[in-house]
Amino acid sequence: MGSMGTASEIKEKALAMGVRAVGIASVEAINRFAPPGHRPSDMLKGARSVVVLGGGEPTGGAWRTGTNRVLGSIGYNRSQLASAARQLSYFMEERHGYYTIPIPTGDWIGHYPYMSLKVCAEMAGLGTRSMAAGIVLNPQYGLLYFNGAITTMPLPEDGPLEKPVCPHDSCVRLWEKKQTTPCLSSCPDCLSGEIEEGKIHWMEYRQDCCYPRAQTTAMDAFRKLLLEAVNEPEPEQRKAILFGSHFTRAVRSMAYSSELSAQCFNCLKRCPIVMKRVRRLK
Amino acid sequence: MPGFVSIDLYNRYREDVWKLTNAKQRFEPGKTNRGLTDKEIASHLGLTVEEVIEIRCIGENDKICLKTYLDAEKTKEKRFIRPLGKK
Repeated sequence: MGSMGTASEIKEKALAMGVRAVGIASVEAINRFAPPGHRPSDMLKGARSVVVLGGGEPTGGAWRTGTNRVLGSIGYNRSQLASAARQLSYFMEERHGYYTIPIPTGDWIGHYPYMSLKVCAEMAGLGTRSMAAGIVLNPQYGLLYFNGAITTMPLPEDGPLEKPVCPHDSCVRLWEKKQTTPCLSSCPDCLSGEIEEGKIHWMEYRQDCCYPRAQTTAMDAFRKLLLEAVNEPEPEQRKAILFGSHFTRAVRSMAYSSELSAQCFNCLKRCPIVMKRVRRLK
Repeated sequence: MPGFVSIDLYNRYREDVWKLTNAKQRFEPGKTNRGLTDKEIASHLGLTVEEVIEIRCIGENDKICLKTYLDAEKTKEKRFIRPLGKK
């Protein structure tokens, strides 16, 4: 087992690369929840640990933009954490001599991921599931995106947080008064749930409702518009589809790898766990 | 490259596959609720994994109508606006 000193060195390296939070999960703990085919050991033979990186969240100012479109445009950037995960993988191989890979973070096929970053983040103590679509919220930063490195190196695990981050006290009070929370009321189509005795009793998230809002101009929209155009018998109407604003945005999103995901944010815009950091700014 | 699935097979199993995926996710602390993997769905419905993957992928696009994408911006902006009197 790698020592606590080794784990600290790896974490410090990650933080020095601009990562906001870092935690370590054991593959054994992740495998208790992740199904076969989607486990770290399915990605890397003999994997023992996952170093999970959190960061890339919207700046405080991003939450204060005047329109959803602007927040959707600048609220997420997938490059920084992916770069940190790759750099950390090189570092762990060269410095410690263990096989290491960045977590494959794209979609495996269709809407299914290679593996659940939520489970990894929870098992690494970086946050707990929330009423807002089960998004993992960090106690210090609120919303974080996740990436990381899978390694054959045995490292001391951080383990899950003992206290759930969600619901916030103010949400519990609101629930007791009105049977809703800021996230549930912001998106009643995607979200439903109940709080009982100050804790999440259950939460349901409809990914199919969320998809057109979180990925308004991404790959699925592109394909649907393309099919619409192919099936359109009138040339002028076909032109209206292909030269129209939505298809133009979809093409641009894919060409520049921008505005592809996380284009909504409404369920977290009034979340007190996210906003507590934002409210401290001038 | 996997072959294309027949549209008859797709139509027959679309709803069954969809119900078993993670399109609707439930979280209850202390309980393990999750959508099934393609392999698990295949075993459940007596299909091959390749057939399930194709049916799921087509269904993920088919089940969400184009209008919801076209209307999404308006819906999001409407919900984004802070209620009057709030900071």
